[in-house]
Amino acid sequence: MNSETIQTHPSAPGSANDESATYFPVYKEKSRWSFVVGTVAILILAGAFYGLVTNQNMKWSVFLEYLFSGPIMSGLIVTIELSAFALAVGLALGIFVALGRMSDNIVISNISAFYVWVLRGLPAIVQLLIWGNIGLFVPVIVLGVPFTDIALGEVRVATYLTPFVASFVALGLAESAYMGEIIRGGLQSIDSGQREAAFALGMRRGRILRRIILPQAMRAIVPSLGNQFSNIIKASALVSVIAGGDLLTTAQNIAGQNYRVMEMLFVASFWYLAILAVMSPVQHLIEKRTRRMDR
Amino acid sequence: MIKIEKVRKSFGAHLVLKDVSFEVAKGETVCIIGPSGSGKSTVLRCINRLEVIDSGRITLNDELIAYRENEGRLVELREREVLNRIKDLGMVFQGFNLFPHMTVLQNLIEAPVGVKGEKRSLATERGRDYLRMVGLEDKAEAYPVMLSGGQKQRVAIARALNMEPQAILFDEPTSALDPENVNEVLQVMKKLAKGGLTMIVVTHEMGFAREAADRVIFMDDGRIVEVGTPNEILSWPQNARTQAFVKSVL
Ligand SMILES: Nc1ncnc2c1ncn2[C@@H]1O[C@H](COP(=O)(O)OP(=O)(O)OP(=O)(O)O)[C@@H](O)[C@H]1O
Ligand SMILES: [Mg+2]
Repeated sequence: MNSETIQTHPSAPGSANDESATYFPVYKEKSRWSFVVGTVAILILAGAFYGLVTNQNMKWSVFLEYLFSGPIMSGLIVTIELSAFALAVGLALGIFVALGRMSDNIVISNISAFYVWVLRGLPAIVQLLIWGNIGLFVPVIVLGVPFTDIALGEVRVATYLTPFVASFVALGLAESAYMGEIIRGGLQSIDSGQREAAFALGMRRGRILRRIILPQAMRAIVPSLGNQFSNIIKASALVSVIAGGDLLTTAQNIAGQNYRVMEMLFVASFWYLAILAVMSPVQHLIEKRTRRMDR
Repeated sequence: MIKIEKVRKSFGAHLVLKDVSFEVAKGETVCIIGPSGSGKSTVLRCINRLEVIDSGRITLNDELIAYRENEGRLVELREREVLNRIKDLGMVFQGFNLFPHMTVLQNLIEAPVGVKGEKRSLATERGRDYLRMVGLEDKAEAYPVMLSGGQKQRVAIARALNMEPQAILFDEPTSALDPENVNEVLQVMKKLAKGGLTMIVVTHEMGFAREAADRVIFMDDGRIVEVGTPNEILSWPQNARTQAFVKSVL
């Protein structure tokens, strides 16, 4: 041991170290199998990669030619815009969904629960198709008091519900159901003492929510926003069924003309992964900042 | 100043407060003691409407706090009216309940500015004075996570004070603290008691009750069993249950 002396009470037996003994460090034996498994895995990967790169049917020049081409770039931008709008819609509506589900009003909480059940239950592609075609079934919306003749005005659906709008509305609504549950979890994770302390200081419900509960809940919510955004990015590839202009649709359209399907799918794949690669450090940064002043 | 008359409170079928009555005069410090589950916390929580009572009257300066009487019934006041009275009653919790996303100073000025509409500069200046009083002026910019339990509780006391309440309710303010932190909080509370603040303190700290309380209330099983000066209750208890309790904690 070292030279530090320990004050030993005579009544505490066996607490002194035996100076004459030798003490060994722990030696961890590495399995030789881990080396073998690793090597085999690398060989398999290298083989697959070699096959891909040298495949005669794969024209890498086409891949490179289109990778940064104008249509692909604008498709990329549409995909990002679509996803960002959908996230914003999902987040904004999600707050209402969460508050609705937590409402004391039994009608409101049941409607909210039903809303979540439907929108999480329906496949995203079905929701996209419904929103994309809704203009055919509901050409005008009349704003007024239900079951009376009072009308305040009417909205021509097709004018506003362009394919792009329908796309992010559909994605955003579907997202709002997930977001609502995430936000509800965040809100409910806040200790009831916070609400009580705020109430005892004379704060009103809305103020407590805005100033005390939501800022803390956001710390639970923000880290999952990144995940939700990557989910939306991926789901946005489905919008080709009603609209387009997005990354995948653009790539497919080009493939329809030059018949280089695989190459174009690789171009799209490259950009989807690129978005995610950029996202994750940003996500880490946000997580770190939200955790900075944790309890 | 605070008057509690025949307050009855149940959770489901479980009657927790059975016609509790007592009064606290301005400037008085009243300690409530009693075994676990006797209803001490519930009394405090009923006073500032964290719990809804079944029946009875709770008044602050002769005004009902959360209800109004109407044809032999208590009708709940609207949120705005309730809060308008609640804000005159500070509360200090066992678990501190500081707002973790705000600095110490922000904790102190949030309610004065947001609820009473005070000028930020005024609330800040007074907040700093109270921080100095509890010995934490150098922690104004710290976040609660960086403080020890005793420091957190002193901030919580300063936060309650910065609303300039007429009285402060303390619910076992030192029970969650490490033993070495208990005294710094009790010192602050003793100073407040001496300074003439009206306080109702639920506590297991018999030393504090003896030194700072004007009166001690002993509760058991949802009832007030015995009331007296600290000396009367802690040294010469009359009731058998009080005697047993005092013996067990001293
Ligand atoms: N929200 C609640 N729901 C149901 N029962 C409750 C609730 N709060 C308190 N009780 C019950 O009411 C009784 C009194 O509780 P209270 O917290 O007032 O006791 P206490 O005297 O403060 O005890 P302690 O010293 O342990 O804090 C207990 O039997 C408790 O189980
Ligand atoms: Mg209690």
